[in-house]
Amino acid sequence: MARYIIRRLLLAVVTLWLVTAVVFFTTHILPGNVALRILGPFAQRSAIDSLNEELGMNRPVFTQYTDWIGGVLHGDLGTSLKYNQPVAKILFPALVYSLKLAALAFVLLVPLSILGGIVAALNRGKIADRIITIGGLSAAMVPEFVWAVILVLVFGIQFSLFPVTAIPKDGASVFGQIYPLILPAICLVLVLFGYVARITRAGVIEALDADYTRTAVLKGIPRQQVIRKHVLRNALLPTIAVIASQISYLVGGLVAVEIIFNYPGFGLALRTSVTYRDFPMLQASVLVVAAIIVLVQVLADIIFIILNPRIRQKVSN
Amino acid sequence: MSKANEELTSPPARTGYSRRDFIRAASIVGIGIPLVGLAACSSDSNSSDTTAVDTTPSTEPSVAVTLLRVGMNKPLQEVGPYTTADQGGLGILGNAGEYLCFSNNSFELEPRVAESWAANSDSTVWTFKIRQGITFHNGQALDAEDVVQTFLKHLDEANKSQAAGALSGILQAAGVKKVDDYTVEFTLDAPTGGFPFIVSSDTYNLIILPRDWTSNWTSDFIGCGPWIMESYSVEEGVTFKRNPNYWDPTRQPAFETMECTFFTSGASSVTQLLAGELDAVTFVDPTAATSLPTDQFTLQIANTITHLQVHLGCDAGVFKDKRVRQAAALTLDRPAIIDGLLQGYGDLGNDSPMAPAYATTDQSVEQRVKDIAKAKELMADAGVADGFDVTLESFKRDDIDLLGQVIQSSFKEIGINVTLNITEGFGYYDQAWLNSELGITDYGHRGIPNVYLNRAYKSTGDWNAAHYKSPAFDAAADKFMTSADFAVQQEASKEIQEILLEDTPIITPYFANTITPVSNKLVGFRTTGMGHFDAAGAVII
Repeated sequence: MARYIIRRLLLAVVTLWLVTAVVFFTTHILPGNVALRILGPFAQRSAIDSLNEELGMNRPVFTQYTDWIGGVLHGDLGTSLKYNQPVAKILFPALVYSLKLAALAFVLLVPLSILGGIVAALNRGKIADRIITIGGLSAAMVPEFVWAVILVLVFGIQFSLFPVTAIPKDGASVFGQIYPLILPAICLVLVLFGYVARITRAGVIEALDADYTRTAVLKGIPRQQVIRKHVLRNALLPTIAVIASQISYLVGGLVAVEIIFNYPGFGLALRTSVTYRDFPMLQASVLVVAAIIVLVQVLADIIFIILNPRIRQKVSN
Repeated sequence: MSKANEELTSPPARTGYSRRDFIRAASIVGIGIPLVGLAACSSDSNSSDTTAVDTTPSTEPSVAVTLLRVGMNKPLQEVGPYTTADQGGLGILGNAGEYLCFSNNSFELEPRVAESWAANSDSTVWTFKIRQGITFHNGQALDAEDVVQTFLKHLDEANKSQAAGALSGILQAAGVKKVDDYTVEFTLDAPTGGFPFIVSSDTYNLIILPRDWTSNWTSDFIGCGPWIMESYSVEEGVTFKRNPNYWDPTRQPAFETMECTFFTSGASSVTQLLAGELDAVTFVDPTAATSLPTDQFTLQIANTITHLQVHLGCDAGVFKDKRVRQAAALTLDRPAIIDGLLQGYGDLGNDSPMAPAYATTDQSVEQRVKDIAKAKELMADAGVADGFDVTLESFKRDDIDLLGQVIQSSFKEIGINVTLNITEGFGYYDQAWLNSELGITDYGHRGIPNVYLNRAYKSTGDWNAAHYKSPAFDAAADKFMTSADFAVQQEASKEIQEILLEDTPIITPYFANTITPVSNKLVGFRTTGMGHFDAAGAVII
């Protein structure tokens, strides 16, 4: 298994290297005058030309790439063209914000949606199943920014139960950090619940109908134990895959939610870097998101191996 | 007449939160969202009236509130004296820093670091007396040498200052001289009647810096303004503490701390205002602003010269014939545009930068109005009665998107088929701005029109997107800019207005007002057309 994980990690490194090359070269073939974007449209032409020269934008793209990748390998993600500050200084606080929100959304989403899926599967065709599946899917159909607006209006403005900004106060306690994140996290849960619960429901139903479950029941194993040990272990595999696939969305794709809650997360930073062609920020952002996706996929694979003896056997062979 | 000039009355105060309030809030938070739109359609709500107010504090604060919470636009560039080129950044510069003089909403200059100024007879030499007793945030005393060094730094090409363009052709490094410890003399390249405006807060980069300042302004926001930076995050905001050594006794900050939160969306800043998490939002769009309940919030309205220029290529292509340009300008229903796009918060444009708000503007020049019959006649005379196709270039922003659509439908009435090419980011300025037949460019406020005349209209202007060349206009513009005499300026202004109305190189449909919503409890909070906000005299009652 250790060899398998090492192989997956090496593959991850190759994937990340490919990502850096693709992102770097595609951003550099886009038309655009970098100095103009930094100095603004009304800057003097001589200043624009001089800055382009200083930034080395006139050098061959391959040289620029090797310089950049060399910096990345030494932990230097470059300097933001827009803010003239180290990219890491801007990007990592944004990443921490996004991870906090994603973590809270996860803490709420994973047990709720798995529980919902199990309850729906165990009550297949009954009212509870209908409520969970139809309700969950209906909630998922509504875009997250609409949920955000509704939650802000109802719980933020009308009843004043939660703040409408998600940024915690300086020096806030753990609760003080979590409290302002509840509304945006609920918003994400509403969007993702139906999807994850439905996959869980399908997995549980399939496992309930499987021969090994029937055998376990016929052996007289208590129902709770059958569900916990035999059904869930197999039923959760697709659920884990689905949850893992949502990581990139939760970290870098929440632009609308971040705007509505004025939350300076990774999605906003990524959007700004695209809009203003802040190449170092954009390259670093994509690299970070790619690294997170790759790592989560590796983690998901490891969980698969732990949960499913058949996969474990296959890997060992 | 803009709403800024109207006297409006607030409705009686109400308590509780009604369905109308809910829908109004929804329209702020979720502008454009169909769900809310449907709800609003079934409501009986009307847009609330707004109140233009005197911002002078008239009541003593009942309870000492030590924190002021302000929502402001997120700076789009590195914040600093050389680099800032947007409203968010200049808002910070103006609070931490101090200018020689401050260009206010009455189009007047308030003395600040300079206590007085005077010109020689032909406005080629300007002498500024520097105020004594001012200290920078680091305790260093300010004198004439700091002023001289500030200007030399901005004039040094190596620093790539945004202010260099405003000073270009007017002032060179050799023209800046310290006369004594508290007197600075500027010898100009050419007579310039409005020079004090050019070195005022209108050129927002020109805060006075300590003589030995080099760079990295974001580390301390060094200046001699009423607020000292306590913390700053490019993504979140800036926290200021009051400057206990601020020189002006009439503008001593009443708050210990001013917390400025950055926003990328005006709607979300208004939401926070509505939720009571902010006391003021510096600038918001009219739709969001007019949705705020007047029993809790006041809208401060300022006439400004902020405008969009629709340039028509004069040297080649479909708009080369001035009759076609006039025809295009005659298709626009300007009052309707102001009502529709700005909710009434704007002044009529008459296709010149000489806005109605400038005292020098000649109000007797006939206002251009929509006249399709006349426009069709002009098109026929120019030999293009059947119309033509043209592409309108610009960049994505709500007001530009909307004006682009209005132009598209208006021009269509005389057969001009406009294809919109409105792109994200700075692509427009990079590629199309100075090379397009038809485009929309945004121009910020200025206390005097010199920058527009000199750079966007004159034959030699480096922002002359219309490629307009008129010796008659150049002469009139020079006459306006060189004179410090009001009567001469007014006469020159009339000439400019008439020439531009005839030649129509640029359509200027309107001048937008700025709208600043503040809590009714906050008084004395001021904003300017340029984008500065001044909380030094503000209190919460």
